[in-house]
Amino acid sequence: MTRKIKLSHCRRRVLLALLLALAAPAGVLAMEVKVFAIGDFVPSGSGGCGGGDRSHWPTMVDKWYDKMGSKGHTKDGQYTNGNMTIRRFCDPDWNSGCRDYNYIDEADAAMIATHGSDSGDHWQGTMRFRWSGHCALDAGGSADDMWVGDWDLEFIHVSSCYSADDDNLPGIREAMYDPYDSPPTGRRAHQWDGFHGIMWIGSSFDSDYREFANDAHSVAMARSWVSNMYDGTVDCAWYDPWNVFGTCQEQCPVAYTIGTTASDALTRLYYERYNNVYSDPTDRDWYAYRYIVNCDSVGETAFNP
Amino acid sequence: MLNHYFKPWIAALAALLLAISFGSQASDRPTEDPSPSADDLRKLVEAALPQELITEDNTKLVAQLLNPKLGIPLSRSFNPYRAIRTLFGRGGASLSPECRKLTTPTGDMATDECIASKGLESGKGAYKVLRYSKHLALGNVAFLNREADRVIDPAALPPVKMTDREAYEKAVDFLKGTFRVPGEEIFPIPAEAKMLPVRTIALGWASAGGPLKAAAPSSVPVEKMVLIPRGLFVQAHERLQWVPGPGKAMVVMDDRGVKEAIVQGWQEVRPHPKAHAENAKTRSELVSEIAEDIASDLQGPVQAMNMRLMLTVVASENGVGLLLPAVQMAVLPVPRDLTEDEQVELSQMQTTTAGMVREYPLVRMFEEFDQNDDEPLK
Repeated sequence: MTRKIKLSHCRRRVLLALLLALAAPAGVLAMEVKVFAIGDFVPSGSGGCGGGDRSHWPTMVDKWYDKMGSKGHTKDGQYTNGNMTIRRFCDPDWNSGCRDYNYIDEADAAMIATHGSDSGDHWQGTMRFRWSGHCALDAGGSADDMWVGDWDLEFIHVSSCYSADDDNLPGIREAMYDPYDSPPTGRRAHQWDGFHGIMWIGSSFDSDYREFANDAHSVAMARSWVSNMYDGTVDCAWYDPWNVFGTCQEQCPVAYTIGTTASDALTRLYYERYNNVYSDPTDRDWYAYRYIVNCDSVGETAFNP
Repeated sequence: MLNHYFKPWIAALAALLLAISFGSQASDRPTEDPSPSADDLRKLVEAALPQELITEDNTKLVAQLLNPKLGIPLSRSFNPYRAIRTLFGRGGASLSPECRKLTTPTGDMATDECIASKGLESGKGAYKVLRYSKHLALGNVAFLNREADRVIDPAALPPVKMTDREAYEKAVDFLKGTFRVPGEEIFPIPAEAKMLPVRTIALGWASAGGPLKAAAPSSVPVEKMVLIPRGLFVQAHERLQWVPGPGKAMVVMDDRGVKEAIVQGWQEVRPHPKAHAENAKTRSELVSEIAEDIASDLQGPVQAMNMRLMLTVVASENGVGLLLPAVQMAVLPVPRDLTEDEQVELSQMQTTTAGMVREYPLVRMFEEFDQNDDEPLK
C-alpha cells in the first residue's frame, strides 16, 4: 500500500526555498553596490577640506555603478559630493560615532572616488568636510580609521591617487578586516583595487570604468581592473603620442587580495569575480597582487615593491 | 588681584592650545591648495603647445587633420561568424537571443552588444565569450577566455617567455586577422623607436612579517599586454605623421594563447561635415580658451601640462562618428617623479593630486560642442 505524504503549505514553501538555494550556482547572488564620489571639493575657507575640483570624477565612476546595475546587481547607494565625511567609511571600533556599517561596509562592492595621497605607509583620502577633527580618511598600514569587510563588504575599488602604492602593499590588508570583529565573525574583505601613483580623470576614461564592471563578470576582477585601468599614454611629449620614444608616464592599476596562504591569496586574485564570490578569507597573513611590471606613474617612481 | 596674577598664564595656555590645534590641523588637513594665477596658467598652456606645431595660422594643419587615411571599417570587414569559428572551433558558440534585437523598443539603433559564448558566465567553470556591437559602426569587439577555477600553486606559476616583439606581432596578427581591424589605422612602429607598446603583467605575493612588514615579495611575470591605440595617418608635421584617433585595442596573452582581445570604440568615422580648415582656431584663441577653462573648472596646483594632437568624435550619425581635430591637454597637479619622502611631504602640503585630461576642438564650429558637457555651448 502506498502512503501519500501530504505536506502543509508552510512546509512546502520551506522545502521549495531550500531546493532553490541548493540549486543556485555558488557566488551568483546579486551584489549590493555603492559608489562614493567627490568632484566638487569644498574650500577650507568655506569650512571644507579643500582640494581642486574634478567635476567629471563622479560621472566617470558612475559608469561602473550603472554597469553593475545593468548586470543585475542592486544599486544600493550613489553618494556624490554632499556631506561626504569619514563617518561613512570609518569603523565604530575606532570611533563609536562611525557608521561604516550603514555606508561602505553595508555594500558588497563599493567604489570610492576622491583625491588621495601617500601618508607614509598608507593611503589617505580627502573628504569634503571635517568630522571628529578629521578631513582625511586613513586606510591601511598604521592607520585605524577604516576597517572594512567585517560587516558586509567584499570588494573595494579606490579611484584615487596613491591608493595602492608599491611601498604600501604590506599594509593595505590592515584596512580589509576589523581586528576586533573579524576574528570572532570570520568576516573580511576580499579584494582592494587601486593605483600606484596618480590616476587621471577625463571623459576618455569613462569606458574603462564601465568595461571594468562588465569584464569582471567574465574574467577575474583583478584581471579586469588591471587591463581596463592601465593607460600607457598619459603626459606624453607631443611628438610621442604612443610612447614609443619613452616620453610618457602611465596610469598604474594594482589589484590586491588577502588570504591565509600564498595559494589562497593568489587563487582569489586569479579567479574571483562579481559572479564567482568566494567565502571570506579566514586570515590576512598573505597578500597577492596583479600589476604592470615597472609601471611608472606621475608622482611616483616605477612600481617596484 | 586674581586677574592680574592669572592673565599671563591664561594667555600662555591659550597660545599653547592654539599651537596644538594648528599642529593637528596641519597634519590632518593641508592648507588650501594654491591655484596658479591667470598669468601663470597662460604661461603653462603656452609652454605645453609646441610653437612648431600650433601656430597663429593652423589652417593647413587642420586641413591635414580633416583628411585622414581611413581603412575599411569594422562594419564592413568584421565577420562575426568567421570569428566565432576561429575562436570557438567546430563546437561553435551560443548566440544570445538579444543578438536579433537591432533596435530599441522606441525604434532607435541598439547600442548594446551581441554575445556569443561557450560555458556559463557565472560560477567556476571555463568560459569563452565574443561580444560585438550589434551595429559594428560603433566599433566594439571583445574576446575573453577564462579557465576553470583551480587551486593556484605559487611554485608552479609558469612565467611568460615570449618577447615583447613576439607579443606585439601576435597581437597585430590577431587584431587584423580575427577582428579585421584595418591595418591602415594601426600606427607603424618606427625603426628608431625605443620601445614597443607592450607591457608585462606580473603577479606578486608576500606574507606578513609583522603588522606592517612583509617578507620579501615573490613575483612571476605571467602575461604580455599589447596596447594598440588607433592611429590615423595625417602628415600633420614632420615629427608627427600619425595622430591618435578614437578607439583603442588591447591583447593580453600568455605562451598558451590569447586571454583577452578587446577593441573598444574603434568607431567608423568620417570628418565632421561642419568642420572647415578656414575655421581653424589660432594659437592665441586656443591658449585663452584652455587657460580660461582650466581656471574656471579646476582649482589647485598645476605643476605642468602636456598636449596631444588628436582626432576625436564629437557626434555620431547612425553610429558613424564625426571627426574633429582636437588638442588633448593633460594637467599634472604633482611633479613627475617623487620619492617616498617627497610623497609624504606632499600629503602634508597639498590635497589635490588627481590629474586631469580634457579635449579642446581645434576648429571653430557653427554649433560648437563642449565634449565634457551634455549640452552645447551657448
